[in-house]
Amino acid sequence: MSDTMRYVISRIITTVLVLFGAMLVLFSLTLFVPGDPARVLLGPRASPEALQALSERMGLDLPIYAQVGRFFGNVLRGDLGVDVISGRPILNMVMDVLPYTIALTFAAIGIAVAIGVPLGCYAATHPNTVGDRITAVISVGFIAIPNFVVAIYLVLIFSIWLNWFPVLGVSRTGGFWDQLVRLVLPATSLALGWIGYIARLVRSSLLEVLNENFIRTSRAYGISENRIVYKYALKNAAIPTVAILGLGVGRLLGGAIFAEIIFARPGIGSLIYAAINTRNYPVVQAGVLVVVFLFVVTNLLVDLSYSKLDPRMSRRGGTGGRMP
Amino acid sequence: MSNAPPSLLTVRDLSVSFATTRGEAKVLRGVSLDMARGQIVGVVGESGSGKSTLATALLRLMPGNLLRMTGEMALDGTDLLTLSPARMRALRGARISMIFQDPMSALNPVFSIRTLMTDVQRAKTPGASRAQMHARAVAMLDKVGIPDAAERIRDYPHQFSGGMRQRIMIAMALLTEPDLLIADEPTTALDVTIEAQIVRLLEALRDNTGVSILFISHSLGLVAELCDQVVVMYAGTVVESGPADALFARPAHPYTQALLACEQSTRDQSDAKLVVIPGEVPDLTRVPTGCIFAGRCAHVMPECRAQVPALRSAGPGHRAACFLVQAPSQPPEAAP
Repeated sequence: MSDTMRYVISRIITTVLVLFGAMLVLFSLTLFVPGDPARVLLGPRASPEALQALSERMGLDLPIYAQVGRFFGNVLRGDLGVDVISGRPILNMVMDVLPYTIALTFAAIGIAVAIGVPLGCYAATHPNTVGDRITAVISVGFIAIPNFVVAIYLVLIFSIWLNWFPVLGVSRTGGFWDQLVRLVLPATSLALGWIGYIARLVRSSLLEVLNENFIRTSRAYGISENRIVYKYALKNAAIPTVAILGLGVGRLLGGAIFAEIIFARPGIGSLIYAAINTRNYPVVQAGVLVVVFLFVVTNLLVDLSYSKLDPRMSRRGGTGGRMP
Repeated sequence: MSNAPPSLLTVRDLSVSFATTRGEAKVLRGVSLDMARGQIVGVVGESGSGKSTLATALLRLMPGNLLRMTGEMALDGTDLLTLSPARMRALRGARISMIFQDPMSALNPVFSIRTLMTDVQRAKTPGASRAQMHARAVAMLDKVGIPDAAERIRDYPHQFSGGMRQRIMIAMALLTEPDLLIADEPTTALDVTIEAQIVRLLEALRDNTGVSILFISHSLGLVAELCDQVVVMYAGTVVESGPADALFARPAHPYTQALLACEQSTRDQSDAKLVVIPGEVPDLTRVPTGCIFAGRCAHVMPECRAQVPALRSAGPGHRAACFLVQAPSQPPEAAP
């Protein structure tokens, strides 16, 4: 077995362990909820018969270890339970809103990369100039302003005053273009902070790489400065940025709540938020579990992508022994 | 000094200074150097003697704190000092190339050898196809002794040993057929057996391709073995220069003599005391008046502290900057 395979397998095992831990924590939620979850769900005026029936359906009368087993068994089969209020399978509810969240996340990260990376490159190639200072102020400003404040201002300026973009919602039936237009403001509001992070990170890692000996080698061989910065140095500087992007995608998948609420978009965030408001713990559990799952899987993919960026990461050094 | 071969590289009175927190550091002061085509010229000196600065100055790859750079540097009549940045970049690689001290850190770790070697050619031979550049790169790797070059060109730098990486650097530097190869301590990071192989490789490449090599080293033994001409540097100045055999047979400058004694004492494995040159390299932000070596010289005289000795002839083509120097072959003139 090659070192690369061993690395992949060990990372997958870690990922599975993290997921099991998350499931245990989420299961414990039902134990710590004050009162009987069935009563919380059905409200104070529920009949004893209805309570009894729901408790049995939720398995609350079983001993704890049996409840744990049931919960894990169900999750592993892809059964996240049935929502008591709407009577729909929770998995379907999650899957209905997931595409909106994923689209929002990738739009936000896409904007952040498209603006943050060039800003960082500019700052790194013009260190300590006025332009560098300005990008620093912009970046730190973007990081410091909470995204819900940005969201409110974006709505105010671009939707209400300028009337360039629709105020709220997603177009559930509309075409691709309509979907895209309604994505602009929420994605921008989420992207700003990440633009700042990425610009700062790209600047510092690029500056560090540009001082490396191998950059001087490239200069000595007459390689053009653009190729040196945007090819030779940027690939070396990419790893910390990709690591942050992995975290960003994971965070936004579960944490786009503000943007989803302010722009009245369906999504995992607003689903969980609504479920918390109605004390609908099974939906909270399932929603958080899906978020954790996506977060962990994203970071697994990011980790595995390092070996593409830096061949030393795959740790098969020495001479010879190339893989076909 | 008669019928000297046409000069490839001429350096006249080159001075370089850097801004430091302690003031202006005059790292090179009045360095002059001549190199004929096809020659291997050695530049020797301790750390801090300015030999690496000389190398980077020739390519104008100076760090950002460069304060002043004056004098003349010409390659084949092209003035290197006044060349525009774009023309200088075009000249790097194409006419002057360089290999560096630490082959571990001097190759970009995240690109394959093929990518690195293709890009070096792309800038210089715009018309060449990808396949042509690939073939040339493989041929060059083969020439510098990388076994199985056609396969291994796909590998990354970390998959090669230090000696192999230095060979790869040499191959990259020679891909564009430069006239001058600057080798800045190319074997310092390698062990002795590999060092000998690299030195032999450089020699063979000079014989086969006619490339001139400026070989920078702190090892007199290595320079004696490889070089035609030697330049000894101390604290930013040239203290002695001349043909290798004459210079090593009759070192004229007290510094060169001391350096040779040090190296011989480390080479003799006897328990005899290690010879060291007392004192330290002077602080180049406060260059003393007089001979730069006066503070450490065993033969120092009052005039050494008052005035800088000019380079004097110590034999055919052999010159040293010391008041004690007398040309051995010349009859004493006007002796009282």
